[in-house]
Amino acid sequence: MGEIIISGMVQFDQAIRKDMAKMSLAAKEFVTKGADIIGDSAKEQWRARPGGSRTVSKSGKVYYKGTGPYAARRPMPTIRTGNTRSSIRRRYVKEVGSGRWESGTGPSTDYAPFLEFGSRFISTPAFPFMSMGVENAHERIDALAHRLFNQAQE
Amino acid sequence: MGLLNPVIATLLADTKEYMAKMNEADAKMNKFGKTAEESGGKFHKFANTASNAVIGVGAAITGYAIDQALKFNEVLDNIQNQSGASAEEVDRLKTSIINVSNETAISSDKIGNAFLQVEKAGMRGASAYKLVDVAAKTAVITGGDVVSTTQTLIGIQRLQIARGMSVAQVGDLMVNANKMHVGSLESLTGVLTGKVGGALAATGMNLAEIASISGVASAAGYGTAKSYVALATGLQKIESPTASSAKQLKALGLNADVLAQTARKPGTGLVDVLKMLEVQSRRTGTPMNTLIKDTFGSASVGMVQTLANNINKVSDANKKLQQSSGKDLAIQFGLTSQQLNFKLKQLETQSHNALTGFGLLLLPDVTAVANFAEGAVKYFQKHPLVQKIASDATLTLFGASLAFKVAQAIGKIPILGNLLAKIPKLGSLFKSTDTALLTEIAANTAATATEGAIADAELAKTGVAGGLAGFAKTFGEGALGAISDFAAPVALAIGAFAIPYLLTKGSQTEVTPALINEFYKGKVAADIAAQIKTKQAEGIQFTINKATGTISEVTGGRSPVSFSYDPNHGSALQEYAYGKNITQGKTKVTLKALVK
Repeated sequence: MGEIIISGMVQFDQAIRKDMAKMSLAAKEFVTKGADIIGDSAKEQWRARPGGSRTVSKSGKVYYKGTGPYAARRPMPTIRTGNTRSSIRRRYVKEVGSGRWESGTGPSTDYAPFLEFGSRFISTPAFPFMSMGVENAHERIDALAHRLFNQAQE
Repeated sequence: MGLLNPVIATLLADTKEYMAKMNEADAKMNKFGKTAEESGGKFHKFANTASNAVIGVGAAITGYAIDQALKFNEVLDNIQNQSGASAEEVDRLKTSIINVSNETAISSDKIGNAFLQVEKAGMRGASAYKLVDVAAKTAVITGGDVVSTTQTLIGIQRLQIARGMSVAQVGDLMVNANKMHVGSLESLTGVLTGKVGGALAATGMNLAEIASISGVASAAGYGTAKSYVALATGLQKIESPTASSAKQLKALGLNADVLAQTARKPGTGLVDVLKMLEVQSRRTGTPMNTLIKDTFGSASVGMVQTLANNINKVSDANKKLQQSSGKDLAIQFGLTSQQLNFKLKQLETQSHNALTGFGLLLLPDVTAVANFAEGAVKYFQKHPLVQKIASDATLTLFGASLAFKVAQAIGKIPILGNLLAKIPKLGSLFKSTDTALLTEIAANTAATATEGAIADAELAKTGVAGGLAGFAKTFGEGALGAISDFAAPVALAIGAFAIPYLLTKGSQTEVTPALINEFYKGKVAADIAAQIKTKQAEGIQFTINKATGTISEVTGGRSPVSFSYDPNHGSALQEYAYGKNITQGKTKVTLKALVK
């Protein structure tokens, strides 16, 4: 009786570990860049401020007219100060488990939830700029995922 | 305000299942190594093949498979070209060859070459299959070459020395004859067919008789064709006595007609003649040597004398060989197939065959691209196989793991380029191939692949069984069985790659000249192509929406300024800042005229 010589076990193990690490990194990159894409997309959902809606008083105070021709047009939110729109950015990227990565994207203004979800003054559906942003980012995220995970498999 | 839910869009990438499957594959491989180490058997080649196959399961499997399939296809082409077999027959042979190869552990190209011989002999269908099957089993038992064994079987049939015997019986007879024959199997087959076989057959000898003579003669060192031909000539002389030879025999106390009649008796003619001579020798005291010389002729004295000296052995061997049966062949093969070496070899061959089948699945399309024709794009769009590949669970096996592995030798071809680049023989073809057309095909297949990947991810959610079923469906149960121990965990890991991928469904794809031309016309299309080329040179990437024709910059987290084209705005570059087209005023809009 002779002997069986199995070669490549260590390399195989290393290859598997390396592959898993690459996939985890790809997942991190995916959620990071994906968050930016969602942010960009959410910003694209806004309607430009109507010309003439912004007035400045003699004292220097700035007013934004929201009635008549300047009224909001659902579902797109209309830029008034631009603060909420400008505040949309990637908030965090974290590993929530082995190979599980999560990112969050959104605005930081206090009243942003009212715009997104509505309030007693703003009937629902209100101006879901984040939802629409996510919806419209599908294709770009698709391309991103396709690219990153395939690269990780190279 | 603090109580309000924050407006946060969460994006989750979960590779848990992928990781789990990779761990499983790793564990299986380690377990295999441990078991193998303990068992203490020896089979280097298998070990290397197994470990290499697993290590490179992603990268190598398709390349190897296609390479195998190409070799296999070459054999099939030979069969069609050289034997005149119809395309249907050749198509049917694919399965037959693999089946025989799987069963006998003989490589598919050797079995294919055996089929080539059979088909060239004009045998088709079941009879061809049966003959090769028997030849392969005979070759396995005797350790011979399947092609020459097949040729021998064909020769035996053509010489009609095995009348009334089934092919399996003939195979069994060959196995038994080989046991008696001292020398190589080739020397035995040389006696049974060809010049020697033909000469002996002409005397009315049957296969068993020839084989029994060969057994004794070979043991005495008679291996040359000349000695056998001399024997045949001597027998012919007895069977067709002349007036002078009859007179000569009469002088020895032998009746030429009785002797001729005895010699012509199929199966026992020679033995009976020798017995008659022996009886006559004892009766008259005439030396056997003299009797043989005067009956068979001086050229065959030596061999006939040897046969006469071992007449009982010849007779016993003849009886035994006459009783050969197909059932015994099956039993013999069954015993052989239980041996460890055979089993290991069989496992190896079956793995190769599984990969050959895998490669064959891809090959028709690959060949179609390689042999480019104008209709290739349409072919790929319509070909059901592409759809099948794209939509089946196996897609990611080569979609995710294989297709993107090869260097960008053929440009930006996500699927085809990589598959084709694996094939050395096709490399040269691509040098002269219209890359634009390739790109078009790539655009189509890439889009399909994307959808397939999504389908696969969704399928993977249903569990491992779904992936397995899909794999088996595509490559056959044999393929699944052959690689399930090692490759399947990895394949399924990729197949079960269940990152929450639902967001990724879409119709964006790479910008290609063909897609530009689909949505834009003439100069407009040319302008867009030129502008995109310029931007791409700056490192900016674009995608095109297959449904709307909108071409967008791939922002990938850059600033929200993007470049875009759409059919409503022609070829002028649209620059968007925060979703607003900041160059729209400069755009010369000739909308409807530009849109097909």
